[in-house]
Amino acid sequence: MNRYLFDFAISSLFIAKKKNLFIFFMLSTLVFLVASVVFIDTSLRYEVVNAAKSMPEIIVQKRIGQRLRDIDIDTVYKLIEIKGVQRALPRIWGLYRFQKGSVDFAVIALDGIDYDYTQELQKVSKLYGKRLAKGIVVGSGVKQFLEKNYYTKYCNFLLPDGKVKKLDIVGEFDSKSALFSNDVILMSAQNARELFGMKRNYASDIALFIPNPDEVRSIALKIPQIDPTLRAVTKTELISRYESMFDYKSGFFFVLFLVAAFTFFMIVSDRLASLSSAEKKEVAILKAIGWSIQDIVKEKFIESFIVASGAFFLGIVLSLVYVFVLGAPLMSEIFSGSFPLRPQLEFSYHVELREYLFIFLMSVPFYLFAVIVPAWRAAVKDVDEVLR
Amino acid sequence: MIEFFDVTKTFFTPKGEINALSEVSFSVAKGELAVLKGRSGSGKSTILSLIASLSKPTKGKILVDNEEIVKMSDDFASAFRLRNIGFIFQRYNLFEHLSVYENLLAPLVPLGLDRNEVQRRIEKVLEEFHIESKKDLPAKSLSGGEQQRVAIARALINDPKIILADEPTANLDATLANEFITILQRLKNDKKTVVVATHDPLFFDLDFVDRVYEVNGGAVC
Ligand SMILES: Nc1ncnc2c1ncn2[C@@H]1O[C@H](COP(=O)(O)OP(=O)(O)OP(=O)(O)O)[C@@H](O)[C@H]1O
Ligand SMILES: [Mg+2]
Repeated sequence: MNRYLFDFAISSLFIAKKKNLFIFFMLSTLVFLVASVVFIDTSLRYEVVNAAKSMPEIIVQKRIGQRLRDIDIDTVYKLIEIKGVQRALPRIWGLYRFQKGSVDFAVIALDGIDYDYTQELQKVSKLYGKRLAKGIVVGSGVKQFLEKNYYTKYCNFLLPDGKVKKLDIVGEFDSKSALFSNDVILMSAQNARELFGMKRNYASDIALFIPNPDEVRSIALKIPQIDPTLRAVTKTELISRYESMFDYKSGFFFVLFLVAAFTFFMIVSDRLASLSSAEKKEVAILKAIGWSIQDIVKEKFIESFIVASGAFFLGIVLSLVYVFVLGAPLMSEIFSGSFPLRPQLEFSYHVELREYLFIFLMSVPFYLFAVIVPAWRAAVKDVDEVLR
Repeated sequence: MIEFFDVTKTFFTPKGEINALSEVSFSVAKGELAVLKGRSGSGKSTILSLIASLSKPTKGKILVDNEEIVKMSDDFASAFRLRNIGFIFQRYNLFEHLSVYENLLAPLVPLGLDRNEVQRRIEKVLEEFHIESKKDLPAKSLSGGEQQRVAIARALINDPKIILADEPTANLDATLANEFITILQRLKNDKKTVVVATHDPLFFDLDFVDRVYEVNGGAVC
């Protein structure tokens, strides 16, 4: 690599200073937008996959005319008889809305017994044991919310019959899978039933654990045969339901990205059509003093590569700070909008090299092309105009 | 050194064809100083850019240093230009935003010389044209005379055999014009082949001018 070519390219950036600066900021904004969407998306996908590890293979729900009903716990005995089902566990859970701030939290019943909703919850259950009978253990998101509303020691819940139930806050739990437990309130099954007005022998749904994944499909088909109001939701369906939710959201951003890219393209195609007169003159002078087309194209390549990769790095760094340090204000709201359980998302870093490559390919070559083509065109044709 | 045989140059424009040169033949021998005179639009600049192979003739043959430059590939023409031709443009055509040093560096870049040689060549012309103190200033901040000296220094830095100057005194006052004449004389003494396109009468009766060609409506006499 000719060192002086490099030096000259760097100085030459200043010939069209304003234009280069403008393109630099356009391009870094574009990279910032795309990178932020990609980063949020990878983070959420990771959470889903991670949370899925502890999900039951099938959730059995009772539905009458599209409405979810409480399910009779005796159904467990019928389900456990299906070949391949290892365990069937009734679960009690639901959304509880705090009037103040109208925020929904997921309430999950946790009896110190054989209830492994997730392994993490099992740990919580062991840790707090009997204290759960009179209290609640809350996720960190809930804790923050309650403190804001001056509930530091206990919390009052409004029951369906209008009475108020006071439960102590006995603990807080942190979870690796922030997506699913940040906004969770854990309590005893008895308190949860009271809160949701559920009869004694009923549950919200029944989780089936099936050791052999090949049997899941056939088992799911057998469930409505037991009772036509029973419905089986498999883990795969659950995951794809979450994922399609993200796809929808990232689709939204993809449109946003297209708009940005289009705007950028409009500006860049302006360059494609013509160089500024200062740039044309530069190319013509270079050619007149003996530069070959190849030399000129190389010089332009270096020049635009500096602009483009500089903009790429700036965009990436800003986006990393925005998503993983600041928690993606504004954008995260759009992503979490369809998540009833999530007033606030936290993103953990799970970006791989291939995502960076994707963002790079979406921005840099495009710009290089837009600079080199017109420079090459200006260099190929006769440049004698510059002489007059 | 420079030979034109029935050279025609036609520009095809949306408004029609413009015959800038028609069947022009002339020659300039090695070491000669030739002046192309003629009024504006007569085709002087067109001849210079053909010599430098910055454009191609519509018809005819051009020999420069015994090379038929019309038949050269673009890369070859560039290399030829780089080593053999120094161009002093009408209005200098410096890179105005770049420093004097960077302007002088430009013709050296494609040669891929080592550091010492690059520095040596730049130092040499800086000294020769008394612009050392301006080395790091942007070209546009220089006075007209200084810009001209930078332009000449840039044209001569690769020690070309042929120097082409287009209206070199067009924007100069009498003192600077005379300074240019002195430089021309020096080039002549150095056995360079020089072609000056001008309508400045200053050049017509200089005693060291070998030939004066009158360019007139596309014909040379
Ligand atoms: N690229 C071009 N396209 C169309 N016409 C051109 C082009 N270049 C030159 N011409 C025409 O060719 C003729 C000769 O132009 P040229 O620049 O060689 O004249 P000149 O003698 O150098 O004039 P001046 O003294 O003004 O510099 C003019 O009529 C000019 O308009
Ligand atoms: Mg001219």
